[in-house]
Formats: sequence, structure tokens, C-alpha cells
Amino acid sequence: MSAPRPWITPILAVAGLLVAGYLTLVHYQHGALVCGLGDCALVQSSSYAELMGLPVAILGMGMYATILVLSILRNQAPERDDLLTTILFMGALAGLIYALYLTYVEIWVIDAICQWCVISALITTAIFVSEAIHVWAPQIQENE
Amino acid sequence: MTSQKQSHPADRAKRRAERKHEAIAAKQRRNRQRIILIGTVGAVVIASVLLLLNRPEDKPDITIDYANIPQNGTVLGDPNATVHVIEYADYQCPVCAQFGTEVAPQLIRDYVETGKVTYEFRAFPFLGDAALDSPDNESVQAAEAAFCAKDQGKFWEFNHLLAERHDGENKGTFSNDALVGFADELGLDQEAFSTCLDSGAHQQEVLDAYTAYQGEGINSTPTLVINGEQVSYTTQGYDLLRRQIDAALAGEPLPR
Repeated sequence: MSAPRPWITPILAVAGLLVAGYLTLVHYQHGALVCGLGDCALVQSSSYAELMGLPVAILGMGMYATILVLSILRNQAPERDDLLTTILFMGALAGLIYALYLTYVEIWVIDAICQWCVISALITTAIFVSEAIHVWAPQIQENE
Repeated sequence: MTSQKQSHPADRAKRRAERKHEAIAAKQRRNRQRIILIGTVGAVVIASVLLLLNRPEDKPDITIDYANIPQNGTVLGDPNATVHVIEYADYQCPVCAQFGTEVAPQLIRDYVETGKVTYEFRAFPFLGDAALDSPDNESVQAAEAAFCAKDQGKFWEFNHLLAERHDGENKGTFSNDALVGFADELGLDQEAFSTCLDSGAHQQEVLDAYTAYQGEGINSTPTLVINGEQVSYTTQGYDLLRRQIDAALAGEPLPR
């Protein structure tokens, strides 16, 4: 067994992909922006929701898709574990920092909370925890 | 004789296995340290780049000199303009504040100052959590305060300041003290303003209008009406509004 729980990261990545996909749809629907329908519309329409013209939600989809592919690859090719784990750990930590920043912006700058954005942030946090466990867990097996 | 020579072959094998085990463990420790180091440095670099890219573009820095635009109370612009835009808004509504700070200045610069459009503001104070006639209802109080500023010829300046200062709902941002402070900032006669606000001089006017607007079918804010046709403020922001106004100026159906 190369990782203690090899499917946790891929499963979380699929969940993240679904949430980010939904947020991307919402972003492109150009829905009416009014008060009374909750805060998602406001968060999604704020200047923070795009990054060089690309919705942040699409960036999230890209991150989850990359994590999904790499974590499955790692399960298939344990000999590449070090390289893939380095990339996954890096991606998950970068995602976590960015998700924390976006949540900070929601609470303190835009003053509105978008619940699906928060769920995405939680999934990113869980992926980071899963990857951190993978890095820290002892993996001595060759001589046993 | 050393103890090693005396040791049983099984013990030697065990020690060898232990050494091998330790070597692997040490290698894995180094690997782990390398992964954490490279991963953390890489992650910080990636996150920093993303954060820098995500810094919001500077909002169009438009300063409107309202005093130079023809106005009649809550209606701004040349009375002969062919297109009439009405905004129904609650000063506590975050989307209205966004419209007021980001879209309205562009609308005024491009269409109102050029005499093509009149822009009317109608207060629709539905987000306050206190009774409508309570001095703690920040939506109604803010609307009344804007009318008190109107009495001193500064409705539009006050209207803009309220949008800029928006910060959440029902948490004292538009308390009476804060509103009086805004009036002071704009150089209004503070005593007259306080008297106007405290006596509820415009309360009936604000609440009657609110009831009338509800009768017109307004139920959310901001609601925009262009030449009598109700349109939504959407995530397309000013882009869509501009196309709609251009269509209205050309006498064509409004794009959605």
C-alpha cells in the first residue's frame, strides 16, 4: 500500500470539480443582481470573481481537474510517488492559501458570503489535509 | 572476542534488517523534507502570483460635479432628455451600493452630463429590521437623510456618499449619528440637517412613496426602469445598461 487512503484525494477532487463547475455556470448565466436573493450574486459579480478575464470558478475547475488526474496517476504509478506527491502537495497548499484569501475577501471586503464558494474552500482544505497526511504518513514497506 | 563475533546469525540478519530499515526511514525523512520544502515554496509562489493577479482593477475614478448638472430634487439631468432612467434602491442593499459606486458614475458621465438621459433615484427602503417609523430603521432613516440633504440642494452628493459608505445591513452604518456626520462632511448646515432628520420631516413622504412603489410591483432592488420598461441590473453591469440606453435612444427594443 503506497498511500494510506489512496482514493480520498481523487474523490474530494471530483466533489470540488462539481462545485466549481456549478459556480462557473452561475457566473456565466448573467443572472439578475438584486438584493433579497442571497449574497452569491454579489460575490460572483464582484471584481474579485475574475482573474485576467477568467472567472475564478474556472481556475478552481482547473485546479480540481489537475489534482484529480495527478492523484489517480499516483495510485497507478507508485514509483512516481515522490514527484507527484510534491506537485499535489504544492497545488493543494497553493489552493488552500488562495481559498483562505477569497474567504477573507468575502467576509471583510465584499461583506457577503457565497455558500458554494465556502464549500469549495472546505473541499480544498480537506484535499490539503489528505495530502499532508500522505506526506507525513510513514510508508515503510519495501523490507517488510 | 567481540560480542559481534559471538552473535547468532539470526541476530546479525535482524541487525542488518534494522540498518536497512533505518536507511530507508532516513531516506524517506529526507524525501519528506524535500517534498514539504519544494511544495511549500512552490505553493507560496503560485499563491502570490494569483493574489497579485486578483487585485481588483482600479475602479474607474470618476468624480462627478453634481452642482454643474441640471437637477430637480431626485431627478438628475436635462429635463428635455428623451430617455428617463429610474433606479429603485435601498441604501442598505449591497448590490445598490455597487451600482451607485461603479455603474451610476459612468451612466452620469456618459449620458446624463451629455444631456441624453435623466436619471431619477427612488428610495425603496425594505431592508431595515426595525419598524418603518422607528428611528432605528436604517433604510428609512438613510432615505429621509437624503431628502434632508435635498432640502439643502445636496441630494446627489449625499446619495453618492451613502453608496460609498455602505457596509453591511442593520449594524449602525447609517445610524442617525453617522448620517449627521455625513452631512457635516459634505458641508451641510448640520443643525438644520439634524432638525430635519430628528423631526422626521420627510418620513411620511418617504413611506408614502415606498407604498406607492410597492403598488407598482417593485419588490427588489436595484430595479431599473428605462422609459417605463423595467429591466434588471445583472452581472453584465454597465455593459448591458449602456446597450439598453443606446437602444432606447435609438427607439429600438431594449436588449436583455
